[in-house]
Amino acid sequence: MKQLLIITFALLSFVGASAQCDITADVCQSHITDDFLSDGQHYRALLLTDQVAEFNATLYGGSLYRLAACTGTQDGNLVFRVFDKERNLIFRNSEFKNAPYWDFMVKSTLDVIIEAELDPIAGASGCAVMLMGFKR
Amino acid sequence: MKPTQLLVLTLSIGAALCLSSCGGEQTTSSDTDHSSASKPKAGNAPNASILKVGDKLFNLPSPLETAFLIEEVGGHFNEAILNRNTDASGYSTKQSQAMNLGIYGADLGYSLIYGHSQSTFTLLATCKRLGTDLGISPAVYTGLMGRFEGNLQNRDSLLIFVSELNRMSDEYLKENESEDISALILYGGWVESLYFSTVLTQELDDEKLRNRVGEQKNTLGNMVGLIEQQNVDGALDNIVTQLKELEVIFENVGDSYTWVEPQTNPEEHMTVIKSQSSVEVSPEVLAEITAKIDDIRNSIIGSSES
Repeated sequence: MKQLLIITFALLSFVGASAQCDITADVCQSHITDDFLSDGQHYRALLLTDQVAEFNATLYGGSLYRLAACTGTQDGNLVFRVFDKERNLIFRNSEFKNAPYWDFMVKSTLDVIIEAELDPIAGASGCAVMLMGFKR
Repeated sequence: MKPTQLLVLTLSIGAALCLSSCGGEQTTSSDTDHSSASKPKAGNAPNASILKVGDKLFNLPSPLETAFLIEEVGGHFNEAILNRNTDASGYSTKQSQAMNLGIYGADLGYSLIYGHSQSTFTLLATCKRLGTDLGISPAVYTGLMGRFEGNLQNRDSLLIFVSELNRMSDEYLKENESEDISALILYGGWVESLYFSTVLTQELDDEKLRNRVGEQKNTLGNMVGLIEQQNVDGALDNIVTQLKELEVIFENVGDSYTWVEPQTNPEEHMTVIKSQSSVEVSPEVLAEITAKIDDIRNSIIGSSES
C-alpha cells in the first residue's frame, strides 16, 4: 500500500509539474527584462527531488549576462550553482534566498556549467525553466 | 483486478495521456548523483519531447553577440557575406530548412544591427516562411511581425523582437517534440556566425575578432554534444562528421585559463567573473578553420540543389 501511495504521488506530481511548465516559463521570462536580449533559447527540465539538470554554456568576455532559473509559479524554489569548467564554484543562489535571477559580468570568455535542482521545500517534482539574456 | 491495481492502472494511463498531450516526456533517468549530473541521453526516444530528466542542456551563444562584436571592431556592413539565396523555396527537407533558418536568422541579426531595413525585412519574411514550413505556429510570427513593422526605426526594439522571436520559436519547437529541429537551427546560426567571424577577420585583421574564432573551441564541444544528443537514428551523421573534422583543426588553437576568485555584489544581484582566459590562433590554423567552415556553410546553403 505504501508503494502504491508513492507511485500515485509521483505520477500526480509529474502531471502537475508538466502542466505548470508554461506558467513557469512566463514567470521566468519576466526576469529577462528589456535591457537584456534573449539568447534565443529556451531550456526546460522536469526534475524530481535530488535530480540535477546540467546546463553547459559559453560566456563571452566583455558581456553582461542574466541567468533566470525558475520552477513552479513562485520565485525562489529552484537552487542553481554556476561553476567554471574546472568545477570552481562561481556562484550559488542558495546564499541569496534562492534568487530567481542573477547577473554575471564576464571579464574574459569562459565556459560554465550550471547545475539546477529543486529546493526540497518546493515539492517532489517540478518543471525547471532556465533562460539567459545578455547585453554588451 | 483489485481496486488498488485498478487505481494504479487508471492513474498511469491518465498520466501518460496528460504528459503526451502536454508535450511531456517519460522519465528516463533516476540519477541522483549531485556531483556529476546525469549522463546525456543517446538522443530523443521516438516519443520523447520537451521535458527532460537529468539530461544535459547545451547553450550556444546568440549569433547577435558576434554581430555586435563585428560592429564594435569597426566592420562595415558587407552584404556579400549573407546567404544570397533569399528565396529558400528550394530547401525542401526538414533538415535543410532548419539549418538554413539558422543561417537566415544570423543574417537577419547582422543586417538588423547595421540598420539595413530592406534586407532585414526580406530576411524576416524568409525566416517566417521557413519557420512555418517547419511547423512553427504562424501565431508566433504574426504578433511580432506587426510590432516589427511599427518599430522599423528603433533598432533596440527590433533587436528585442528578433531575439524574442527566436526564443518563442525555440520554445514552440521544444513543446512540440521537435528538439532535433531546434538543434539544427542553432547549428545553422552558429555556422553562419563563425563564417562571419572568419571572413571578416581576414578583412579587418582584428585581434578581438580573431580571438572570437579561437573561443569557439569549447563552444564547438557544446555544439557536438547538442547534435549528438539528437542523432538518434544516424540522420545527423554527416553533421557530426563535419563537426569532428572541425574539432581536429581546433585542437591546434592554443588556450589558457586561470581561475580568479569572483566578486559578488548582493545589492546589485551581480557577480563579476574575473577569471582570465586567452586563445592563440596562428594564421595557418585560422586559414584551415576558415576553409572548413566555408565548406560546411556551402553544404548547408547549397542543400537546395542536392
